[in-house]
Amino acid sequence: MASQIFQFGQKAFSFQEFLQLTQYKEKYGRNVIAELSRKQILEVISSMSDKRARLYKLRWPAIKQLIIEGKEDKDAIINGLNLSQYEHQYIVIKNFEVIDHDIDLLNLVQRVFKENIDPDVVITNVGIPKQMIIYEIT
Amino acid sequence: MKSHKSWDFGKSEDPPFPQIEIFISPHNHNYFKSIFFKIDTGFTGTLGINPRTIKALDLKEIGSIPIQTAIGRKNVSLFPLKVKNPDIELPETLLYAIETPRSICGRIFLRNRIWLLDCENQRFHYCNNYKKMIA
Repeated sequence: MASQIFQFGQKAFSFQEFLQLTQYKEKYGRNVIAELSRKQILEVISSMSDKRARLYKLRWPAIKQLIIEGKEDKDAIINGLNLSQYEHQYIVIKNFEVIDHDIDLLNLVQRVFKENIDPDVVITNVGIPKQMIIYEIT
Repeated sequence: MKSHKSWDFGKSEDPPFPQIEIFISPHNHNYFKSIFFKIDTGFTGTLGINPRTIKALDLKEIGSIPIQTAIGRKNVSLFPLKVKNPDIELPETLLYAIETPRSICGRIFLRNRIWLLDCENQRFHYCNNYKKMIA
């Protein structure tokens, strides 16, 4: 997956902006956009200024699900979001924004879920956690 | 030394293993279910829960994190949940659990309490009286 695309976050973007960011050739870029739309990672919206222009926006519920599934897409998303200031920590993300972080996972979970759960939040890590859980048996 | 509470070793493996009973509930509900967890001091987390229990309690994943295993790193699902056990003076507490092949209780859960591993009689004891005695 094109990890740079996650730099757009909540911002809507045009196909040209996508090509500029990724440096993809046009044909390949169209295939990538089509694939991300097919997977419902992108939604197509109309531009307010030009009804004929197509804009794209990342769908947070789909991104959140990819992070939860924890496969290779997760690393692409985290790398694309430029979260290096949280390196080695656990983070809570909502709509592409980090809303809390900690090196201690238990502290973080107890803070975040003290109130009712927000269905839009997801907990994950940036880089290798300083306090990574060790489990000897697989 | 008198202990508050003890549990028989689990006999589903040979040799038998120490285990503890903990009541767990989804974090946004109050239906606590009694689960026996294998004591695993090689596990540095709080609780590991097997897929069958996750399904039975309808626990919802709220993220994924990497863990270090004997054969390398892997991502596991993360679940918020509530735990309690009056027998070990554990009030209703919010914790996280990860998905593991079998239900295990790790070092973060065990910390700050005194336990006795009685392998001769195959019982695992919670020893709060001993804490009071040495204080």
